[in-house]
Amino acid sequence: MGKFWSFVFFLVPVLGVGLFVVAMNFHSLPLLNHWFPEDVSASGHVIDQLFMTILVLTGVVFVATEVCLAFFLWRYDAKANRDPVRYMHGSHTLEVVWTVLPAATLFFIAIYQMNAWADAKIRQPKDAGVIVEVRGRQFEWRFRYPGPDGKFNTPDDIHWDTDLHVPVDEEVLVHLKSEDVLHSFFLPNMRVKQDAVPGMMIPVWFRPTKIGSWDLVCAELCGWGHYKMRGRITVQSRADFDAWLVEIANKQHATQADATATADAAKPAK
Amino acid sequence: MRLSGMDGKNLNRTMTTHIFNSRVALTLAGLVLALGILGCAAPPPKFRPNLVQAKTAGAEKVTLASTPEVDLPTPDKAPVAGGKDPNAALEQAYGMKLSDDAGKAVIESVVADKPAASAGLMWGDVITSINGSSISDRPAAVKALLEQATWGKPMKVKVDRQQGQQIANLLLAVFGTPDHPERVSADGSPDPTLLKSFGFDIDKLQVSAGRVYSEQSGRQHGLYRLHCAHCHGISGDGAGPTAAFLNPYPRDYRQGKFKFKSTLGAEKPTHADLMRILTDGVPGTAMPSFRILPENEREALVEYVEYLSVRGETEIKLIDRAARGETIPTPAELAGGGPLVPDAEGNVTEPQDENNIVAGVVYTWRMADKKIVAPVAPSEEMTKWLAGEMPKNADGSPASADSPAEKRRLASLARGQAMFYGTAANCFSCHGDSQLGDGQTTDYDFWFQWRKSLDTKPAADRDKVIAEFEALGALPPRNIKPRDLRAGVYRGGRRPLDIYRRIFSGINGTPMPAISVLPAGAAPDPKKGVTTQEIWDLVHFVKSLPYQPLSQPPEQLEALREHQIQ
Amino acid sequence: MSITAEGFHAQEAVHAHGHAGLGKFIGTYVFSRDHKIIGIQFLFSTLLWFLIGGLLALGVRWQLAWPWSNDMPLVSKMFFAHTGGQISPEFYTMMFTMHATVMIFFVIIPILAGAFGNYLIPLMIGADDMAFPTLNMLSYWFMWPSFLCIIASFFVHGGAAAAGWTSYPTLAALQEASPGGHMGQTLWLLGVTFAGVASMLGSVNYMTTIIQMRAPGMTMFRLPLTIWAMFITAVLQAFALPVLTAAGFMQLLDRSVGTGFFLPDGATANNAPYATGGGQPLLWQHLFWFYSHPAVYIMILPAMGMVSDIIACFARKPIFGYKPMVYSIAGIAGLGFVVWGHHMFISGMNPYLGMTFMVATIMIALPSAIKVFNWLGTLWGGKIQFTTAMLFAVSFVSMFIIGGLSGIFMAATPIDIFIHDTYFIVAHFHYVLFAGTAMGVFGSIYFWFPKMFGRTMNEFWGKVHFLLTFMFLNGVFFPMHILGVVGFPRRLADPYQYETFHHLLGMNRFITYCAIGMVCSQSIFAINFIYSIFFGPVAGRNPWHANSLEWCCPSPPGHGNFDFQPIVYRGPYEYGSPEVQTDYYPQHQPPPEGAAPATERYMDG
Repeated sequence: MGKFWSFVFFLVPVLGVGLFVVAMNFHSLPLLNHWFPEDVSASGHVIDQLFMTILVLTGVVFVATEVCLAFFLWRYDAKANRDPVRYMHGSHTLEVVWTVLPAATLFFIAIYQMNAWADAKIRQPKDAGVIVEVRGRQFEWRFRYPGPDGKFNTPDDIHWDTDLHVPVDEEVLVHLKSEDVLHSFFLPNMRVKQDAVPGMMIPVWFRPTKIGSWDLVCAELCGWGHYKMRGRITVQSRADFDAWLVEIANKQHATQADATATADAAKPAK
Repeated sequence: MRLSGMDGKNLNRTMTTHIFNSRVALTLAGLVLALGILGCAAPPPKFRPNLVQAKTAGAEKVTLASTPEVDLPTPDKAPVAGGKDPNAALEQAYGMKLSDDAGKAVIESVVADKPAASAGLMWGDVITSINGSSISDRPAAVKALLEQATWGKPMKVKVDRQQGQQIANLLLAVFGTPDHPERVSADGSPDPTLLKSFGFDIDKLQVSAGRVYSEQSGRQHGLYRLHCAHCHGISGDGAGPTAAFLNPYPRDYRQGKFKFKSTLGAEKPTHADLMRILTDGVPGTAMPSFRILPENEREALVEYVEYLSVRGETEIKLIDRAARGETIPTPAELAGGGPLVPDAEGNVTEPQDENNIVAGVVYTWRMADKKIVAPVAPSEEMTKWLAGEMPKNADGSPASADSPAEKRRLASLARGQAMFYGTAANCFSCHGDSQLGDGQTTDYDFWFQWRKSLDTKPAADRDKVIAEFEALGALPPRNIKPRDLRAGVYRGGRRPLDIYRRIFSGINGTPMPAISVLPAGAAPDPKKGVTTQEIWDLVHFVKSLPYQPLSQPPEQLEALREHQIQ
Repeated sequence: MSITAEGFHAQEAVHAHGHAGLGKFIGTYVFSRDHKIIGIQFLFSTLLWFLIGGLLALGVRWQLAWPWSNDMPLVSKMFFAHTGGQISPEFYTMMFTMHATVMIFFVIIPILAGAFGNYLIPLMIGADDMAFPTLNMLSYWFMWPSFLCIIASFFVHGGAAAAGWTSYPTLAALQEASPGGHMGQTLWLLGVTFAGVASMLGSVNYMTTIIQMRAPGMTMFRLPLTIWAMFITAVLQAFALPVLTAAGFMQLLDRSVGTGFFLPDGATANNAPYATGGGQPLLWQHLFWFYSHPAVYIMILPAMGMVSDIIACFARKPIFGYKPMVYSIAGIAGLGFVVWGHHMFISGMNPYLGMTFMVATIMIALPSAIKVFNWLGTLWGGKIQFTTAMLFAVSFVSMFIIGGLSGIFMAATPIDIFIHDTYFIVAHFHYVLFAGTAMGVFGSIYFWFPKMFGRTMNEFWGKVHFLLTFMFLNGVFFPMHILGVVGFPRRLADPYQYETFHHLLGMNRFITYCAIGMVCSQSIFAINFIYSIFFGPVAGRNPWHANSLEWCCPSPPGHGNFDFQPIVYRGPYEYGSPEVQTDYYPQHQPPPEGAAPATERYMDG
């Protein structure tokens, strides 16, 4: 039975690596699109590359240790192994080797990614093309653009919800807030995620690079309707974005009944 | 050679000798049991009858499914009416008629204030026993009531009360079930023609109704259960499993009353109104925006909500009649009065027969487009103020308070403020002296009228009745709170148009009344009413409140925080 | 064997028959002060809760495979008949909250520390009982108020707590914010506090016992690794738990008397009146993870210890690098106190702190790696016996490698931005806690069952159980990594409404089928376990020919444990020692005449 069991354990690295390889490289059935969603931001590739770096490093360790394990089980099966037991209590040299090597690697990993972290969360851009206030509330996203005067909290603020519109190729600075409980502003395609905390205003920034419409996900449990807190982000050209802002501002200030005044701009950007 | 320990082979041999067949069987039985539990079949959905309405409408004892026993008083002497039909005698003696329904003794009708009605008997009751002897059919009941009665002594009548089932059957005959929105014809096949003749789009209803699944093509079915049912309930009763934990409660469509709409007073909302609520959501409540659903799915949902509302209102009218002891229409009468498909001008013929309940309800929906409130156009300057554009000097700097433009703006605000505190509009009595929505907080809206009617009762009785209502499925009653006008949250929409309509025609179902508007050409009298142009001043005032000093502290804090971050 | 047992059996007989009457029965078996009875009480309670927690997980999986289906077994009929059988979203939220709560506070922590800690510590160090037997009894009975609170919470208005097992304010601290936030959350806090008290009483006891009650000759570095792990776990608990208890009380006060430790100005939800405010929701996260991150190690270190013992025994070879193993346990425990911030990288915490916590977190992978290498070293050159216990222990190592390596992704802050709160992290902690700890626990049950009940569990069905569990658990948890890479968020009742995740339904169905298979295959274990207690083949004192002290007393041991005074001559891993003819060399067996003591060899690790 020793052979059977070592085979079972040998399957772990084989199938494990296999699943990752299929998901990663085969953008076709059966695992169509079972990998990172399309990256449409200026800095998303940094995170993807870091992930791949660590995936390769850990993958090597994973395969090496799991294969060793399976091999030892096969080789030292009591029924098949005629050699005497190696009566030993350890090896100082080996311990030093397998302490220092991983320590150096891990330390390298830690230092290697600090810059990416700082870019994502510490070095706030000074040249934001648009500032938008995003507020989470049970269970919807509400947005506010500062309006023509460029200031929040004035009567010409432009209010909107659910479908965040931003211009392409410009730095978007989000003032993230929450009205009630924790939420999390997650843009899978921009590799952006930040919790919204009641009582705090947290800046979030990203630079979309492609025109289109993608999901805005709430990623922090916010109550029974957490799954319902579904949003979209629509990236438009600057001209389209400006026109859209004017359009919804006009709708918001409507004083006359008018078929087009029904606030509805859910159509995807051209 | 050392002794080996216990190697795997030896161990296995010792152990396997202990495997009995029964053990294998036990293991398999356990697995089968577990799988059996997991494979339980789906329960059929129960569409709960509107028992709250039954209780509100009728005597408090009324339930729609029970087996009550009543003391039926008898007259002092035998009735003189005779003839072949015993109903004449029954009507004279007890004020009720019996019909022969599938061989059972069914009370066809009762007359108010006569013995049968005062004893609590209702139309549709099936008499099952009289004075302890069981009654199987109509002749037996007639015999017991007319021949074996001891005149002047009350008799014990036990009935099987199935009105709930009868009403359910009537609804089924017109509407099908909310899961299968089409009537079922006699041979059991679905028949959508009736609902079509009332102007419903069956395809839209079907894509909204029933269980959740998606076609291979990606077309989603069961939209209502997917997005709405857990709050609004599968029959649109506003009492889904989540409803009790929401503030405000989700809308109960069955009353046919909707708050935020473009139409006058108690009129039905237009299709576009419901579409706008679904698209924009109701800010400040748990109703989110469904903006990102495809438009065809939103259209289908609105159609389905109208269907549920018509079905619910029909049910309520039937229950009301039942509770009052009136006869209820036959399925043919109930479904009559159509077709009600609007013509090119959007007109439909009003049904005349009051038994055509469905047509009557549908008619109010079809006429909603004719009842839209179209506000008078505000001045150009007012339009700018409402859009947040402040008067400016030529160089773009804000105009000072003594410039003519700014003076006009401040004067408009002052007029609005005067109206807020004036007797015609009387806003402050509910919305409070400082517009924080704290003027009164003890009133109830239409959906809790039953609770309001208990205000006059002693507290102990009140709690008992509330508990009875809740046992029938009512949500725990809550007061209706006037809106905090400084919060900057507008449930019906933040457009000046929306606020104008709220002021002009009130909010249906709530204590918010329509403002009294002076007739055209009447002399201005602030005590009697306002002009439509003046309503814009009030809108202007209301819209300015979130930016006024009393509302400021959080904003200052916010500015401070933004400063820190920059 | 050199032990004469007759005298002890006579003594045992007095115990078995001497106590007549119900009062004696209750004193002996219910409110018992005997560490073995208490350990078995813990074992039975936790296994029962394991079933409940597993069924809750199945509920979650059902919804993810067939969202809003109206035919969910039992649940549809019991709770949602009037709404057409669909489970409600708040019920889903409640299910995953209570699954985690039950599994962490009622299964993993008490089965490791309560069941095995209690049972094994006195036996393995050669003591006749715990240092404080009454305190020990209390530590079990303090679990009961906790059990009752959690059971009751399912039946109160609004249902059980539904704010996640992490219970983050303001969702958890505002009564109106969720249905379970009414009474359920209060009961949850009380339940967790009681469970904390129980753990606290236990850990005080374990520390004292291990320091004070060791048999003659049992030096600290002759302790089995199980005991070292239990000792360090107890220290961790004693230092970290008070923080959770305090935080729990603070949240209780926030909810009941309006203190506002965790509630900022104007906090409200669902149009409820504004809270008093003045607090900070992030404070809870700091306090909570200050306990709960060390708790992650509380949930794995004892399993690591037990697995080390099982592997050494069935490899018939001394453990490789005993002292590095001890130091790495201590290292994990020490570093474990300074890494809690890695749960909060995207919480809004000061981003500079994120860098500090990242370095500490990545470095904590080091001691874990050392342990894995040492386990491999132990297998190398042994004579491996494939018993059920050994298979589970080896699978612990195999699975812990996966769980440990996936942790590095989370520790890397930029990557965490993307995979935080996705299924990647769900995969990670289930690989550590289920595929790791639970498999270790299964192995330990098969291994120590003969000592606990005097009979052996069936090996054939044990292996069937292992194979099915091992296959299904990988089927359940490995694909979750892929889901996480797509960004599939956790705790969503219906993630498929998002365009990005719409196509992941198929993989989730596969996971659910595996999960159903996994839960069903545990019935094999349950039947084997119960059957073997009564009808299994009788085991001798030392069925596995193991070295540590518990194997030299009768199976099951009587009151007072040892029928002679054990004296320890060497460490617990002297398998294959050239000093003796047998391939094992029990700790209490005196060395042959003239042989040099072998203990010095430990120093070369």
